[in-house]
Amino acid sequence: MRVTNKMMTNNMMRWVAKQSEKLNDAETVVASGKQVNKPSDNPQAASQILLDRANISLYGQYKSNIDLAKTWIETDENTLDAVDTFLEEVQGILSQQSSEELTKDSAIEQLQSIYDQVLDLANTRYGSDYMYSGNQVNTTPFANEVEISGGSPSDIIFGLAADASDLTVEITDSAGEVVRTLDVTGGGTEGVNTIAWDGLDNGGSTLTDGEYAFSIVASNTEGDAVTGYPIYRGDDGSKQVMIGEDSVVMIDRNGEEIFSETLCDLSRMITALQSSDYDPDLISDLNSSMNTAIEQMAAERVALSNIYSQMETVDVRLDQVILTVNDRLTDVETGSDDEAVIKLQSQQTAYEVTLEAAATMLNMRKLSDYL
Amino acid sequence: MSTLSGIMNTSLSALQTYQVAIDVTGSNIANANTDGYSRQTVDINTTQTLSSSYGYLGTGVEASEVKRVSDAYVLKQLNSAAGESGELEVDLKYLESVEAVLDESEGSGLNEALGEFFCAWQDLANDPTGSTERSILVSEAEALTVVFNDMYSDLQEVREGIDDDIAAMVEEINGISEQIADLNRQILQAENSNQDTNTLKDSLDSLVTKLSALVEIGTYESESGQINVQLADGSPLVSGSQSWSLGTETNSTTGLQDVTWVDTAGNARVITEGLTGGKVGGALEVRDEVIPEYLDNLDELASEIMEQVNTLHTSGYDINGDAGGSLFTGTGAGDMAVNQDIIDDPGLLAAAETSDGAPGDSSNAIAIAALQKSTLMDGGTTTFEEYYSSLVSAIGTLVENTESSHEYQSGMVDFYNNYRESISGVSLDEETANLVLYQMAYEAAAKVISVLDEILETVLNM
Repeated sequence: MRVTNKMMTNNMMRWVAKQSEKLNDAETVVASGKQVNKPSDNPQAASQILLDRANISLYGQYKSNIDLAKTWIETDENTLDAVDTFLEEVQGILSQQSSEELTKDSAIEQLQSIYDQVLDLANTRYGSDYMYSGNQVNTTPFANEVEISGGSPSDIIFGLAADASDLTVEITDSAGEVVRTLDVTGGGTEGVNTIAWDGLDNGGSTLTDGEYAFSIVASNTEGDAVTGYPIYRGDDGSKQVMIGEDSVVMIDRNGEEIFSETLCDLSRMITALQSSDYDPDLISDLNSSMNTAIEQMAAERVALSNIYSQMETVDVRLDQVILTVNDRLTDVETGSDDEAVIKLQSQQTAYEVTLEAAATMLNMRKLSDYL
Repeated sequence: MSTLSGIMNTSLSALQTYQVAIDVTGSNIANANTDGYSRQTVDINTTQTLSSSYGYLGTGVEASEVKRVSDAYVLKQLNSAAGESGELEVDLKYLESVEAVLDESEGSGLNEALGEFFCAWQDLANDPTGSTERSILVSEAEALTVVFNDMYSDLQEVREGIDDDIAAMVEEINGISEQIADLNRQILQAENSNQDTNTLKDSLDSLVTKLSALVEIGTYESESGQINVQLADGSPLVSGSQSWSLGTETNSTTGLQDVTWVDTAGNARVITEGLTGGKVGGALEVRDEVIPEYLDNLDELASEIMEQVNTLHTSGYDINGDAGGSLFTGTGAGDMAVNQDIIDDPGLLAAAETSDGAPGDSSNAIAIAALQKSTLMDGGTTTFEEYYSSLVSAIGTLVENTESSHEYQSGMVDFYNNYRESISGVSLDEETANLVLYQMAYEAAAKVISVLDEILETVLNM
C-alpha cells in the first residue's frame, strides 16, 4: 500500500490528539477524586449512586425521628416516675392517717399538695405542646376552662368528688376578674357535671370570644366542702413516629387513661377526709384504687420502655445499613485512588511515547536528502 | 528511412514530453500538502512508428494525457462515512448538553431536592405544630419546584440553541451548493475548450465531502465530470450549473425552525421530516425526538408527584382543622409551583388526617412522607427516585453509545481518508525518483540532439 507523507502526518496528529484526550480523562479522575464525573462515564453506576445517596439521606432522617422520639419518651418516663412516687406517698399518708400518726388536717394538706403536683405533671409541656392531650397539643389536658367561640359558649364541664347540694361556678377572665357567678340550682352530682350557660356576664352583656377559667365552690348537705377536679379535654390521638419504610411507632399520650382516675381518686380522698361523716371503708376503698393506679402507671412505663428499646434496635440497624451503603457508594463513585494515579502515570508515559514517535517521524529523511 | 530531421523530431518530442513530465512532477511536489489534491501522472506513449526499408522505426514519444489519480469508490465510501460521522458528532455535542442538565454528580439536583422535600414532611410529622418545621417544608417544596422549572427550561434552551445551529448549517449548505454549481459550469466550459479540469474536479470532490458531512445527499456524476446533487428525499440541490437553496421558517406549533426547500419560483416547501444524515440530520433528531422525550418524562414525573401529593393534601386538615387546599399548582415540570396561599401561611399545610385531629395529628404528614418510597411511576413499579435515576442512566447510556459510535465512525472516516491518500496522495520520495528519471531521460535526449548537431556540422563541413 502506498504511504504518502500526508498520510503519516495525519495519522500522527490523530494519535497525539487521541492520547491527549485519554490523558485529560485520567487527569480529571485524579483531580476530582471521582471515577464517575458524569453519567456517561458509567451509566449504571450513576443511577446507583443517586439511589444510594437518596437512601442514606432517608436513613439519616429515620435516625433523626428516632432521636426525637427517644427524648420525648425519656421525658414521658420521668413524668410517670414522679407520679408513681407521689402515689406511693399517698398510700403512706392514708395509712398514717388511719393509724392516727397523722392528723386529718395535716393529711388533707399533704394530699392537696400532692394533688396540685400531679395535676401539674398531667399538664406537662414538651416544648410548646402539651404531652398528655392526645392530638390536642395546644389544649391543656386538665383544666377548668370554658371557651366562647363565634359568640357561642362551650358547656362548663367538671368533676365533683361527691354529691353537692350547693354549687357555685365563678367564671374569671384573663385578668383574673370574676365576670360571672353562676348559682347552680339543684347542686351537682358525684362524677362528671355538664352545665350549659349563656355566655353573658353578671351585667347581662355578652362576653367576648376567648378562653375563660372557672372555679367550683361546692358543699354538701352537712356543709362540708366538696372538691372538684378538671375533666380531660384532649383526645386519644397517639404520637406517631416514622422509623422505617412501612414502620410507624405509636406512643400513647392519652391523659384520660393515664391521669383521670388518679385525679378523681385524690379529689375524693380529700373530700372524704373533709367530710364530717368520716367513712373508713371509703378510705380503704380509695387506698386500693391507688394500687390500681400505681399498676397502671407501671404498665404504661413498661410499654414505653419496650418502644424505646425497639427504636434503639432499629437505630443500630440503620447505622449498619448506612455504613454498608456508604462503603458501596465510595467504591463505585471514587474507586481506588491508587489505581487512578497509576492510570494517570501510564497515560502520561503513553502520551510521551506518542510524542517521541511523532518527532521521529517529522525528522525522517527524504529521498532528496540522499541525492 | 531515417532522416536527420526525423531524429531531431524524435529527440525534440522527448524533450517536450519530459518537460511536461517534470512539470507535472513539479506540480505534484508543490501540492504535496494540499488538502484534497489528487496527484497527476503523465501518460507517456510512443508515437506512431513509420515503416522504412530497415523495418519499423519509432518517431519518438509523446505525453498523451495528464491523468488525475482518483478512485470514485473510495470517495463514495468517504462521503458516506463523513455523513455518519458528522451526524454523530453533532448528536454527541447536543446530547452532552442534555446530559449536563440531568447531571447530578456534584450532588445537588432533582434527586436531592426530592429527598429533602419528603424528609421535611417527616420532620413535620415529628412536630405538627412547629412553625419552623412548617416554614422549612414550604421552602423545600419551593426548592423542588424550582429544580423542576430550571431543568425544564434548560432543556428548552438546548433546543433553541440547536435551532440557531440549524439556521447556520442551512446557510453553509447553500454556500456549498452554489459553489458546486459554479464548478460544474467551469468544468463544462473547460471540457468543451479542452482545458485542464483536474484541479476543478479536486475542488468538486472536497466540496461534495463537506456537503455529505452536513446532510445526507445522493450524487450522480455526468459524462462531462459535472456532479448533480440531491437530498435524501429527492429534492435537488445542484443540477449542472443550477443550484437550489434551502431556507428556514418558524413552525407555528413548536416555535422552532423548519427547514424548507425553495424552488425556482421562490416557493418554499417544508422538508424537515425528510432531512436525514449529516450534521443537520443529527441536530434535527436531537431537537425533535430526543429532547422532547426527556421533556415529557420530566413532565410525567412532576405531574405524578403533584397529583399524589395534592390528593393527600386536599384530604387532610391544616393546623386550624380546616381542609387542606392544593399544595402544588401547575400542569407539569415547566410551570410547577407552590400554592401562594400556603407560602404566605405555612399553617395551611395539612398534617392532620381529620379535622378533629388538628393540630397534633400527623397522620397525613406521614402519609405524604410515605409517598417517597411508594411505587407510583411506570405503571406502579418504580418510585419517584428510581424513575429519575433511570432517566439519568438513560442519557448516560445514550451519550456513552454515541461516543463510541462516533469514535468508530470517525475512525472509518480516517480510514477512507488514508485510503484515498494512499491512492491519490503525493509521495515525495516517489516524485523525487520520477524527477531523477525524467531528468536523466531529458539529459539523454539533449545529448542525442548535441550528437546530431556534431553530425550536422560534420556533414556541412564535408
